[in-house]
Amino acid sequence: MIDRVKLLSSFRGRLMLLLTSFLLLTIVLVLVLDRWAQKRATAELVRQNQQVKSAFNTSFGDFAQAVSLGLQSLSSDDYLYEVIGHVEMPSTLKDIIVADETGLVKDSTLRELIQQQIKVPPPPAGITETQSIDPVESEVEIEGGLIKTYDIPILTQKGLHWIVLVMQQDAIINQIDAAQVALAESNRQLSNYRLGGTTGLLLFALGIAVVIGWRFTKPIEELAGAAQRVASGDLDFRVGINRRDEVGQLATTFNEMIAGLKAKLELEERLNLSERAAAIGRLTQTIAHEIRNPLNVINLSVDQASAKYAPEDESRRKQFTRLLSSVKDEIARLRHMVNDVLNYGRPAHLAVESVDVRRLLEETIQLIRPQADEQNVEVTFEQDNESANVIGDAERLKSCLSNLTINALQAMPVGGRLSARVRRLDGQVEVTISDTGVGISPESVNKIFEPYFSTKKSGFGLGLAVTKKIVEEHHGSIDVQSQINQGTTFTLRFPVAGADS
Amino acid sequence: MKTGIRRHRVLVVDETKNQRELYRLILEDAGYEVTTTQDGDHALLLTRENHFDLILTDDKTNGTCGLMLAIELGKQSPSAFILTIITGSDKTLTHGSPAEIEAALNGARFGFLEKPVDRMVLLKVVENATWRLK
Repeated sequence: MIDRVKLLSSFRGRLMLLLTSFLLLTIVLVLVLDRWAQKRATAELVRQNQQVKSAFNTSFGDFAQAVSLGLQSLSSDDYLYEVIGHVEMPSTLKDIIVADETGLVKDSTLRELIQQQIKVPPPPAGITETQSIDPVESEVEIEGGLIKTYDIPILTQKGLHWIVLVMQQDAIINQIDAAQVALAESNRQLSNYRLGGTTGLLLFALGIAVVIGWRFTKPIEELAGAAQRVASGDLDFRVGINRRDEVGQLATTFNEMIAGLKAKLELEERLNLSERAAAIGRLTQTIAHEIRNPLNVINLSVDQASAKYAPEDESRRKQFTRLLSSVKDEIARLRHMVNDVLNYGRPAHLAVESVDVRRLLEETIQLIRPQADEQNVEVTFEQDNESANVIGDAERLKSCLSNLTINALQAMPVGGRLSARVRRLDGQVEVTISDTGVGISPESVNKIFEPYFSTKKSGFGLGLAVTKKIVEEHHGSIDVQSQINQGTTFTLRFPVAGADS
Repeated sequence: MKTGIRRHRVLVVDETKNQRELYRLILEDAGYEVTTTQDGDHALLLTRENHFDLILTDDKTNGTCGLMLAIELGKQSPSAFILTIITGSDKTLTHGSPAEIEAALNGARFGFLEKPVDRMVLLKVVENATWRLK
């Protein structure tokens, strides 16, 4: 089972963390910029107020100056356009016009207007020589355009006159405009800062996202390569990605998948192998079975021939007997092989009884002693005096022991020592059969119990397979230890009879 | 052979000619009166009309299980000894119901020999079986 990926080490978690922190940073940045902008806007507003105020102050000063200039014009003969060269015109005023009640221009800073008619307001009520009233807003047409004016009524001895002040149109507005421009400029600056800040943060977040994404997707290439290797049948490797995120999880699962596939493949191979072995087994059994019929005929014929048709002549009879006995030997060998094959596939029909293994081993050794003497093999038999009874089939156990002792003899064609021993050990009966023969090579020693494997040139290679099968049918075990040119030791262990009761 | 004593009669049932003739040769040589057949049905017919002291059958005759034939022959000739020569596969023995095989195996008039058979063993078994029936 794979551990769940911890949220903080997962790709999802990291991305979420990144985006959240980016969002928070953006909010903080915007808030800070806003506060700063607010402070700046307040300061700017204060400054502009001041400017506007000073602008008005200036224009009021100018106003008084203009009125005095108008009054001066009424009381003197000098024309204003003449005076104005010597007297400075107030900065917020464009022109000064002095007109009578009907709008006839008496004097002006604009020479061309003199004796012209301009539009003036109707005569105000309640005006006296001492009591002046508020100026009236009006317009005058100068140089083809209407210009805003402040008309101030003055009652003199010559009657009602208007001092028309033509305003320097842009003076105040310019100052207000300047303030507005400054405000707009500061706003633009602010939004620039915001844009810059958020763009910077976005780029930063993008950079981190790219790094995380790259780090995340890089092992996927390795996994893709691995998947390709698996697809082409290579299962002898593991993906070397050791990470704690989803890709790490994927890699772990991938490795488990490879291991699973490999195990399945091995199982299939083993199954194929055992199926083949079973098929070979069935075939060999059929062949073995069919061999018995001709073998029977040959055997009986040879017997009949040697019993009835032996030549009278002594030397010829000897030759005849020798020939037929060698045929009998070969028949015996065939019979033995056939029995091995048929016994291997035969289900266990154990004739269960209490069997003395010491007696069985002694009998077996008696049987091979003539052959051992012939091969100059010294045979020893050892036993402790405890009973070595085993529950089982005496005939089949005996065939085990004779298989092992015959093998031992065959391993010592030019003499040696065969040691057989029976003893009680840890509640078991242990039988060891050792020889000082040619030994078994390490690569063969694992296979000798497999059916149809043989180190000998003849035979089916079933002897030890049958032996192992019989031992296992008796709930025993068989082990082998061998060294080339030193010898081989087979150890059998069986449960002692009556051990469970 | 010995004229005073009745020659024991043996029926050999085997589908292979070589084996059949070999049994005949060996048994006739040993003084038995031998009848052979390759067919199980014919064997049953023969036992109905003749008396045999011993019937030797192969465990496979004309596709039928030799053991079943042996049981049938045993029923028809209660006094005969039925000797089955088995090829030695368990498959041959697992034909028929377990009770029938049990009965066949426990019957004192049945015997088995595994191929390849030795002449001396064959003669000994046949002699012992027929001697009891004397």
